[in-house]
Amino acid sequence: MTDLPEIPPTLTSDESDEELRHTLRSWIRNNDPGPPPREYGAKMAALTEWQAQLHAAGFIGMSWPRQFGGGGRPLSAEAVLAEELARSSRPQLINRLALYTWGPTIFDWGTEDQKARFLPGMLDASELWCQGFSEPEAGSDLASVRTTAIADGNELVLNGQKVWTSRAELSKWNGMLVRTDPGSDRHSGLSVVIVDMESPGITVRPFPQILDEPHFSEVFYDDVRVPVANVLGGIDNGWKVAMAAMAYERGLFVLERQIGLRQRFDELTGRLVADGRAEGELERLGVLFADLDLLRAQVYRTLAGQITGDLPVGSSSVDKLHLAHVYQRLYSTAFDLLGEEAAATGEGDWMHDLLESRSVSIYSGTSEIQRNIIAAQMLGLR
Amino acid sequence: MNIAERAALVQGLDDVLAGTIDLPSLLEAAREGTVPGTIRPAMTELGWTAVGLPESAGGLGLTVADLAAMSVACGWRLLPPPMRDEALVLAPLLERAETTASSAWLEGLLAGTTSGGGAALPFPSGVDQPDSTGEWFMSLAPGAAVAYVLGGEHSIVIDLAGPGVSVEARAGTDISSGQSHVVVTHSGATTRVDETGDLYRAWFVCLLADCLGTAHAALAMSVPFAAEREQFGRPIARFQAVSHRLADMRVAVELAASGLARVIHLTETRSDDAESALVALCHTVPALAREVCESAIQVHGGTGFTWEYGLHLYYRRVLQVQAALGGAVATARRVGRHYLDAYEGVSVSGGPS
Repeated sequence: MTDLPEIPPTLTSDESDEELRHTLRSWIRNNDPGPPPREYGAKMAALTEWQAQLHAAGFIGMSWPRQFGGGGRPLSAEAVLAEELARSSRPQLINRLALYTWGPTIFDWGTEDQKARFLPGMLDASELWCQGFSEPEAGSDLASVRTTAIADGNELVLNGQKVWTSRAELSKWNGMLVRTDPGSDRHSGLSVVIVDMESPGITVRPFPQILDEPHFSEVFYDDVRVPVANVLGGIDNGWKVAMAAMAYERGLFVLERQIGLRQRFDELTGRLVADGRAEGELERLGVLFADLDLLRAQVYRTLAGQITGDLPVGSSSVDKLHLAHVYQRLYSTAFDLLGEEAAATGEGDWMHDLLESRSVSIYSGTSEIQRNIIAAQMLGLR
Repeated sequence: MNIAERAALVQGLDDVLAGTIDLPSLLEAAREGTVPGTIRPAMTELGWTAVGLPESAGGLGLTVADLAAMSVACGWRLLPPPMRDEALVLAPLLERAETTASSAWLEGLLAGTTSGGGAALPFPSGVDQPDSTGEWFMSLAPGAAVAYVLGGEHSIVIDLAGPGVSVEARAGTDISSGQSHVVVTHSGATTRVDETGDLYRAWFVCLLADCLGTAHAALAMSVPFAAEREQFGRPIARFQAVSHRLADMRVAVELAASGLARVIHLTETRSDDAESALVALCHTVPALAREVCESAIQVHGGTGFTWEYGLHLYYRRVLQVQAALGGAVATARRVGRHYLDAYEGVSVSGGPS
């Protein structure tokens, strides 16, 4: 702490990134299928088809190593993809949890068999992924996980309940944090296990959120049998693997959201310009733009650190905190400025996004937990 | 210059600053309205005033990234701002002015016998450029003989002993430099220097880097304090009310550093996005640094509010930056203005470039 602070690295792009940008832009212009249907099931199917199309064209997994079916490009290629997709009518990749989080975790911790079995379906979206970490009694305090997985020959037998499992009903695979040592406590005795969601004994019960959309579910596991070979990173080593997975959950995720927020900010400006009100709101627009630009700089710094492998421990919590701050400030400001128009659903749907923004300071570790992480890992306060 | 060379350069500067500047003597000198007399000889011996000069004029030909890294050290160690700016702005302007007087002043600066200071028009200066007469608030070193007003198109150098020039010293927000009200009524006292946009942009990047160093220092004082100071039978850092505040301070410092990293890259690659990034950072970085300093005072409790502990020197330094930029409302409005001028409907600009 007493060392002179250094100016960190930032993401840079080279000529090949600019070539890629050019290629992608024209491909998207020619192949954009238009906005997905509004109905949830049809929308998910359309987004799955879109990722498959992008994969067939060679644009998915560009930063993955070649031996795993990827393009062997630097991470900056994914940034280009995210930025160009943002211009399309389908900016998000349906299987991004697999592409950005579980894929890289399997590169690091998976066996050769696991790599061969699980990675290809991530790329073409033929197998979607979800994540089973949280439980009713293990939210912020994730180490309180109670779901058990007891060895029985070559299999584990799972019993317990998970909550907030996004896209559980659509997923083929679920990366779960479970207790493999029933006598263990806290961070020890946990394992990450990859569970086939079509296994007998799994009950998915949709858990409508604040917007009454079925994004996540409660999932019940009754004597679900999983091959021991599906344990990722070794039995009782799950805390380490889960934390590694969560660290991957920043970077490109935050980049994607940051781009989305910039678009919404432009839309807000468009509304104000159309009403002749933008000139009167220079200060608020300036504050929002400046905060968004800072978020972009922060995510570029994180991506640069991920490329060189020297990201300071805990620093991805900085991204998460600032993302939540900017996200909520943008939609609060939009609501304050647009009044009745914002309250009405329909085009723009600012009300929807304001409500949804409340989740950002909760999911993947609340803002309070992020501050605990920063205090412990970046400031050495324990 | 590669990263290791830059680190060595900055370390060399930091070693001299650390050996020369200490809080008690800064505070004692501030009560007398001056700065410790030991600083200038030490900086002269280091050759500090030449760091902003091109190689052809005996400088090191440093880049924005190099100068910004050094500016972090200036803020971190509280080098009085006029001495920072003599190197970053005044010496290069004098070198470009190419008059007999400017050559003499430059020689004096390099020898440590002449001092100066100046002011910059808030970024971006746009159509506003310094006239040959006018009035400005400036940070001047004690005994300043020459000053500047830095603009995005052109700048001026002012002979403070010239015809029609009055200098009225006032106590400034940043007591390590003070503020002087400089009035110039006769154009014979000023020399115009054209095409100073590069200096102007680089200086703002350096000013923000200085804020980063200042904020980081305030944080670096607060963390060990909170870890050691006990109340209710335990270190106050063990209370989340305190540790979360410290975490937010760290977030602010990280964000400012990331923003600077990007704007340095954009500036060095002459990206189209450089200007909008710098306008935005002129709002966010001083605001973040100010929050850090205010939290530092709060975390220290009554101790933080004392004169002798010196946290106020960091706070004042950052407040002075915000004040010179016209205040946070003005900086935010400039960001909004810049964004709206470029707004052409819904689109997303390109990549990191």
